[in-house]
Amino acid sequence: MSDVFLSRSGRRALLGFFGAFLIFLYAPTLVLVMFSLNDSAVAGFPFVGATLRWYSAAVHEPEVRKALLASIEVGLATAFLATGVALGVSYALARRRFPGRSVVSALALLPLVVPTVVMGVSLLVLFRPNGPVIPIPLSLWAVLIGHVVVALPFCILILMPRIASIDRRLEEAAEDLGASWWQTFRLVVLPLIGPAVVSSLLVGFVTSVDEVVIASFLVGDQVTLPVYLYSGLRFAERTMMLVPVASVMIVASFVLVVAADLVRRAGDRRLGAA
Amino acid sequence: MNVRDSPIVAPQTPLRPAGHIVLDEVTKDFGANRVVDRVNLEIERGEFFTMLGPSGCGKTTTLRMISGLEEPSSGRIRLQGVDVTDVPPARRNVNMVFQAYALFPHMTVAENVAFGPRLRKVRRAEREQRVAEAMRSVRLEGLEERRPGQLSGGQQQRVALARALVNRPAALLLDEPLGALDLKLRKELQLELKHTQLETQTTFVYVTHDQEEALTLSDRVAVMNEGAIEQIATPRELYERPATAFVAGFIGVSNLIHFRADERENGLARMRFGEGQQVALRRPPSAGTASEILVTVRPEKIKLEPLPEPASRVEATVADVLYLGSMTQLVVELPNGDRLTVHRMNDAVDDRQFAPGERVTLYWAAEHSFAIEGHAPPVHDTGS
Repeated sequence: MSDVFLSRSGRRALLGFFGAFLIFLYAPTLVLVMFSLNDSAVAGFPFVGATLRWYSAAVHEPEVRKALLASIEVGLATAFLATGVALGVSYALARRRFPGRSVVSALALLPLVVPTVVMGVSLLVLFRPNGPVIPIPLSLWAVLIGHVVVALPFCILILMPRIASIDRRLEEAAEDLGASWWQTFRLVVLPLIGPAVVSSLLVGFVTSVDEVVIASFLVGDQVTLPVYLYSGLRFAERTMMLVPVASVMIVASFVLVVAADLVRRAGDRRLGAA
Repeated sequence: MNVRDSPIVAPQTPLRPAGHIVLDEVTKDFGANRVVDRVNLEIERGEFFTMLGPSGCGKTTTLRMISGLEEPSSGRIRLQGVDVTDVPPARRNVNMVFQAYALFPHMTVAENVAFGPRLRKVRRAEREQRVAEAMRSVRLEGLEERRPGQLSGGQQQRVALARALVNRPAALLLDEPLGALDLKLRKELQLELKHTQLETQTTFVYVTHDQEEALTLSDRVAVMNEGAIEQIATPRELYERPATAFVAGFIGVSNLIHFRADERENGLARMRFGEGQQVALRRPPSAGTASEILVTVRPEKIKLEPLPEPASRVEATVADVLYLGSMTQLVVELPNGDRLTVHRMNDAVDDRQFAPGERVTLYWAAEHSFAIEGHAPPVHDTGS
């Protein structure tokens, strides 16, 4: 049996497939960025000339700036909260044997498969303004809670394997040398999973900044950027202002993901000699 | 309360000094599995004490219970006269050297070594001095800023040793510390370990499955089997006078004779094998003559030349010959079917050669055969 990777035509076919895959994934994004620079009142062809006026318009729109700020605030808070909770859950799942461990594991990862619409609706029911089950007003706080729930499984999936991969004897050695549990965690475990913690923070941030469904259910007066973009589509005069905002978001997400990977690799290299 | 900080109260003149480390009926069960079975030990201050046994005999678990990383299911552990059974490892004045060293990969060598003193809030000046001293004692000066991953196996082993010794523990617990190294390096580091132990006058509790290592390094050895201690003795006693069949077989070659005393006189028992042939046994156990016991004799004690009385004299058939350079190893079969290994130095002028099937006469002094406890391992029919 010949190996498809070895034959010349096989390799060519695979390369072609990969190219098509990349175009399928990224062409729409690229087109969007192109349109954001197009000096035309509609987002579409023909390409009439380059301009930055849509960027300028977006920057000078106070609603855009407020929405952006709201998104960054909720994103940062989500990143730290979700990562913090995920650290605790991951450590317990990776290191401790306790009754109901698999149940906890399943519950923590459940939000991965629950549709965000369902999550949004159920949170809305909890926080609803007239007679809320939990008295939290619809606001960025409510959005934050929803986003932590959504981001948590991702953070756990990043952190748990890392913690599990640490040689348990390192923790025993620390303990043997006089470290309390907390000192062991801070001085040995945390530095060793540092890169994963950075990844988890970034993923938490990106998850929140990207999220529109839950946010649109729970925002109060102040919308987040995705909600602003989504609702802005209804107004023709705003549309062209949204395109550059979307473009910036795409580029920023891309940069963040690459940065996360670089941090992770740098960390691996540092310990790699071990 | 910190045990280490507690004042050492002078004991009320005990009749004999209490052991430095005392294990009293220590037992460990993992589920239904009894891993350590009522172990009693007394380790003296400054002693090089080894727990020797095959893998799964409970030696590592016993060591981990002394360190506090494992909790005994029952029994008590005392350290310097203080009951530490319920004291967590961080507050026991003993330190482990782990089998794979368990060095912190994200710290430099110096940071690794300084870890203990740093946690114990030793002041900076003293800390640095102690780290330097520890680095010197394991001959690692100049490698302070390296990371463990950049060191060889032998160097990592020394860092692990320094990291433990820097705390000046009451005892150092070593879990097969040379197990990951190749044979040559192992031999070198064995000597170094022994020197370090003598220089620092630290109590070493050492775990290994390598009987040669145990005999070379230790003041006393506890041989463990299936969670229990078979014998505690000096290396010489262990070799010359194994108490059980297991010890006899684990340390050296298991030469077992199924012995039934045919006659007894003046503290000497004899088993007859026909005309002029006998196995003589000094100080036989007081059991009745009828009962069968196990008797062992070390392979190098068996001679092929006549010895003065009282001695064993048995005719045997050579089953197997192995030339080993400085000596020749013979496997011979006694008239009753027992097989013995004989080591014969190749220093004889006659340069005598042996072949399977040949008849030889074995001699050994009466004091070289002695009774041991336990059952013979199943006999392997090596002849077929």
